[in-house]
Amino acid sequence: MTSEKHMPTVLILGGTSDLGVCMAREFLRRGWRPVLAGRNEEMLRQAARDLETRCGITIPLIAYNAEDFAAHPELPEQCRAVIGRLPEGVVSCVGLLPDPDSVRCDSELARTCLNANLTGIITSLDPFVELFEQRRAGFLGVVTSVAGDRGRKSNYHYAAAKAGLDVYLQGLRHRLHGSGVTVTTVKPGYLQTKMISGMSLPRALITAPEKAAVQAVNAILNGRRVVYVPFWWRLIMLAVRIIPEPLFVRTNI
Amino acid sequence: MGRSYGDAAQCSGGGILEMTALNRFRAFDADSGILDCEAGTTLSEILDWFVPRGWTLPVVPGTRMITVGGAIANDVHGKNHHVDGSFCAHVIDFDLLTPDRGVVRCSPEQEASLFQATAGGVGLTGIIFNARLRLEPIESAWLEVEYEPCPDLAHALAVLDATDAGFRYSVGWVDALSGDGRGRTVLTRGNWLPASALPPERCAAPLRVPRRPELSIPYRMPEWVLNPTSIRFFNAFNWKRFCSRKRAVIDMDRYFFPLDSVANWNRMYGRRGFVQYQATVPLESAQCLTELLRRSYQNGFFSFLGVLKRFGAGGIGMLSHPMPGYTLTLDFPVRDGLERFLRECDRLLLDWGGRLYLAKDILALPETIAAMYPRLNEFLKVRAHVDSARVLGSDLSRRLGWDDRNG
Repeated sequence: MTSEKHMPTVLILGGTSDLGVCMAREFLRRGWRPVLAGRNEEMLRQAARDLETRCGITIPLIAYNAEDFAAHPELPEQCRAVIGRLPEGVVSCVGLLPDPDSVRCDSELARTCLNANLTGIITSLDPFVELFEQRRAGFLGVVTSVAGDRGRKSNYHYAAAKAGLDVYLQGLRHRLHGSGVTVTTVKPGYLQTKMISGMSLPRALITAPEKAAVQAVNAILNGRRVVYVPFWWRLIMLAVRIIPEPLFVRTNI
Repeated sequence: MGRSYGDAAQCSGGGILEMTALNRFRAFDADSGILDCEAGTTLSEILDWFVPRGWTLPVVPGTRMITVGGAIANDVHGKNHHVDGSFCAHVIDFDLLTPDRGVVRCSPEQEASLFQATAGGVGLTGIIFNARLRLEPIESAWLEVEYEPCPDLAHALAVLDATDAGFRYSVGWVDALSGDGRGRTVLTRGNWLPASALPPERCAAPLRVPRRPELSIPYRMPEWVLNPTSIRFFNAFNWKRFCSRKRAVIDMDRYFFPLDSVANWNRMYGRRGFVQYQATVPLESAQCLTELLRRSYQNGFFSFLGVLKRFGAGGIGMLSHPMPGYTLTLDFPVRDGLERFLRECDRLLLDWGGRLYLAKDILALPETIAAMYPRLNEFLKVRAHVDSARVLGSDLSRRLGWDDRNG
């Protein structure tokens, strides 16, 4: 077994989400050492124990809350504290899909949705962007959503946050071009996770998070720019996007 | 996983618990080889992570694509049953969520009767959510396999009796259509290869299993695809392939899980699918198996795949399938009249003191199964004790009338 000190590391924000757990395993499988950052301590501990059992190394943990903006500038320091250096890359699997009916009339919830899905992720990534750019190496992989491709009546708060994140990442790619730092936008469709539990969705559109994780990690490590997971969501969303608005508002998509 | 052959994991009109989200590993002790994991973990996942570290599961069935919970609930067996027994013989303990008694930790010593009812109890005593298993150290992921062609099933049975003890793993592939149903058989039997005996090109990474090309049956085949001629053709090809060599060094995936290399292989059988008929008979009733094979041939029910295996001592579970004897597994594509024919086979099997495997059975009558499993009443009593309201049930438990009985 490779010594954990010499393994490349990746910080996974939202490392206890279903996709985060699967991506952590996928990184581990490829010889990367994940550092898990998440909110729920118990789930964080269980996820770490799972990874540790798989290959006998220790998995560092960082208490992280996407809404606690004040703590975000400290993230690189926290990484240094647990692994002794900056991680090679940062991945965000943070995502919060609020109940669409509640979020419409609950401004608190609407704010939480925007903070967790957009503001908090931006403030978490910004410190790493500076450091990675100075180092002239590193990668950022951020999970957004196909929902951000077009606003729909069923989840427009969530979609707005994800769309904002897409544009932020676009800007980052522009800025970091040629700097040796890659930025990957991962846009999953429906994944079989807690997020969609209770929704009735066509089975053919649902993907296992394990499968999505393989594709996402591939894309991130290869420095791809924007990937849809699975790839055919690109076609679906293309079709959804080109419907003219006067028509679109009449549909029930 | 949704991979069960029979109706043990079906529940029309009710809900089915999909456990694969509970797939976290909890601990591994490299001194004792004991792995603690959640019950939705697949055997595939365990092998993927532990074989490179020099550990394997002591018992694996013909597929990796099953969960630990499912392996316990069916007390599955593998090609080494004659030496190592079935899956539950290597289970240290598990946590069972029962409707009446909450969470109960069961081991062969603690809550012994609940352990025995759950091992092979097809999920009816509760929900297994954690389990501790003993893994086995291996030096390499390769086996040395010997091929022994036998002209018919009777001959193969005799060879198994004479020389099975020399092999840790042993299984026979039966050509059900040859010789008017006499069933020529190729025994493929092997042992783990120590790292020192590996061919030089494998020495660098003795525990690495080569990746296989991923084939898949893209859609359901029409039913005429599997006909006597095509099956004969396939079997002739297989026979040639096996007989072309006496021995070979092959990796564990290819030896243990040949079917896993073809995704969705069940689609071969067409819209109506297939029934896997696994008949096990005591040592003295070997003749029953040759008779079964002959009858299926005469009645025009052609098995696509036939598998022969000699069992060792019976399992710990009240409804564990294996018993000392032989087991023959036949895959029948569903055709008109198959149900009636298999009922006849059930009667024949019963006359010879044999039994069916609950994990695969889908047709048998309540009284047939009751006669085959002498500890059924004991099982039903335990079940009544932990689930008095029958919160847990399945198409199998209803078909066999178990939901109305208290033992």
